[in-house]
Amino acid sequence: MTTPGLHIRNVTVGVDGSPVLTNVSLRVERGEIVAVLGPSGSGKSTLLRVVAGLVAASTGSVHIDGADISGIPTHRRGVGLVFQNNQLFPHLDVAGNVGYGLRIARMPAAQRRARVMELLALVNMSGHADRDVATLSGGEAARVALARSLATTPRILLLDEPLSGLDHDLRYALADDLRRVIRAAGSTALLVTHDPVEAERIADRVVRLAELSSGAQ
Amino acid sequence: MARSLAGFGVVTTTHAPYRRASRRLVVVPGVFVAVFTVWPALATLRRGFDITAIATEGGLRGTVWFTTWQAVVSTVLTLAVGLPITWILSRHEFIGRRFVRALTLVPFVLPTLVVGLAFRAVLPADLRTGVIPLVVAHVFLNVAVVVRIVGARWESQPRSFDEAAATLGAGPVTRFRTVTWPMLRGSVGATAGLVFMYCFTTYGAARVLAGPSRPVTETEIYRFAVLAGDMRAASALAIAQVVLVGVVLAVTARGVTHASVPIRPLALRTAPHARRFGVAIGAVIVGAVFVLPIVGLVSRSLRVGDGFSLAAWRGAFGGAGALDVGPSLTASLTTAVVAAALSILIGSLVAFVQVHAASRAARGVATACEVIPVVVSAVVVGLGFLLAFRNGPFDWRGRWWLLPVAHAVVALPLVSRTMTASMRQIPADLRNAASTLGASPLRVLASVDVSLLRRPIGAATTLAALVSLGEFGASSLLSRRGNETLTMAIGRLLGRPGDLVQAQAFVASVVLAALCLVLVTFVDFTTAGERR
Repeated sequence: MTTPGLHIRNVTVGVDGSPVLTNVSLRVERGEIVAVLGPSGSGKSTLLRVVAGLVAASTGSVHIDGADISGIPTHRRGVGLVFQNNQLFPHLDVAGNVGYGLRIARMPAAQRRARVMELLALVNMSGHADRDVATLSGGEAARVALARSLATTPRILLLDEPLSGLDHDLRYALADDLRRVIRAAGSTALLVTHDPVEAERIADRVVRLAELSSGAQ
Repeated sequence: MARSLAGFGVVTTTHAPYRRASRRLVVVPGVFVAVFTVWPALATLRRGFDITAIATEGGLRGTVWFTTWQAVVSTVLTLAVGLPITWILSRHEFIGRRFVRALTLVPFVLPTLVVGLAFRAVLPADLRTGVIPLVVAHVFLNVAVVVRIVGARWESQPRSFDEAAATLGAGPVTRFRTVTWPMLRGSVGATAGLVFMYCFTTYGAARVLAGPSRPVTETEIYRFAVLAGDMRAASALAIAQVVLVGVVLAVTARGVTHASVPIRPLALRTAPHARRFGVAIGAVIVGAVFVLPIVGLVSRSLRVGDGFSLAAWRGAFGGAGALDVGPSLTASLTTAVVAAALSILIGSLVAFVQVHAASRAARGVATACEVIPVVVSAVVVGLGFLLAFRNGPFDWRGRWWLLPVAHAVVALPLVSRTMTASMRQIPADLRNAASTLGASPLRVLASVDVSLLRRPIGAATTLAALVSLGEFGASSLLSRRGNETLTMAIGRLLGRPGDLVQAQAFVASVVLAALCLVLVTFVDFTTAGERR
């Protein structure tokens, strides 16, 4: 009976009485990349935060590979989130950021180092391991943030406007890169964005947030 | 290490006319600090040159040792108490948060002498003097430093770093250890250094609470200089004190620069249900603890002998008993106004030169003007004045302006740091724009700098007045008959027996505390203090 992948069921989130998300349902198959489109302020980020466990849903549930994870705290969910503006730890260098999750998972240092190198190669950032994150360009920071989230091989990878804040040309070049990297990692991914072109370039399937609400009369 | 929080750009401050002017302007603070800080310090050094007195005389060595360890214990306990309070106040939103936060800052605004008296009023008789009340008072006084410095950093730490760590598998403890702590560490270190320095140079609280068997260096300097007339011993202790404070400051200087990175607070989040109860209880306890001493102060002033009585108050305002509040209040206010005016003038010049000077030498002089008075404690300033201004053309003993000048020296670092931080935030191009629109350099100063700095100038001036009102260290060495300020009056009354006299010391404290609390409502703490 288990359904592989991510299943969001009738999730409603209210903040101070006003609903941010109403009865949202979505299914993402294992290995699939789905993009959710919506204007800013429509609750896209909140949807990702519910899946990551950073925001609690008022009603509804989130299932991964058939199991209800609604009660599990963020750090035990095995869900990766690439934040808007990346949120790289300013006190750690590039390798420190990418290896952060591995360190927490108690991976031995040598193995960790190898895995960090592997990921940096995957995102075309080999040779930047020792850099201070404050010196990274927007595109580089986005790549490092992606590598950091992929390092622990999360069951679901969430991406919150991963390319916002980048200029146009770089943006679409990086979109193709992003797709390649997520594919190569074999991840199941859910991406939210306001840019239809970006969504099409990265995802296998694009849905509008407004269409996900059922029975929201 | 040029590791900084991404996104904070450096504002350039180049404006040619200011650059040129600062070369000449630096002379004013330079001369002021040379005459009123460096020279007194040298006079002290000459007298106390035989610093071996400390090594050979057991009493002096014991004093320095006790002062050091009580300061270490006070600092550790202040952090142990202050960090959880800071966590409650800067990571959670609840009804009354601002009020509780303001309460924790009250003791820091009150004169240490008054806080010492407040503790004497509320503590049981057998705990009124000794190490324990002294350390407790230090914790009470300095929790505000933790709440302000560490709190500002903690509030501005985006929650998303925490969240990012959570999505990577870090539990609450790991998140604190690997994300929160590394970002707070610098500010905690800076706070520890500052608190240690405050506790090491404790004077007002120690005069009231330490007791005769537990003198600290500052009270011993006072005792040797004023009561025993032994200037050699007083000077030797003063030198030891300055050296130790200098070392502590040098060690923590890195953390201080770290902590002074521009900070912007973020929206707070309501505590999750499970935690809400604990946070509420904590907030209530914090509120109660910080109100208690104030209540004790007032109630003690209303007690003469065994019963409730207004006698002390009536006497203080009617000239009966040992205290006449009227003239003392006038003396305190006059001194505060002159001291505040002097220190804002000198402090602004120091800040101006630090921000605008191109020449290394000019900036160096300005920085020295800011740093030297930090290293020299208030009691040492008083001692230096006694030793430097006593003969020849510099015989300024008994001049009324000597006290406000001493207060201005004590307040100078606070004022110039507040002004420097604010001045740096004005983009140079604003001034350049004014110039291209035809404004002369003076016009630029008036229409751009002064108008934008009105609030910080007001805040810094008020802070200086607050420092002067509560200043006791320099005051008690320079005090003489006539022109007695409130803190001097309290100091005098404390040494005298009698229920009414004692109650009147508390009357003077209540008046002083009220004055400070009224003044502080004028300080816009969003621009001042934040970057101390």
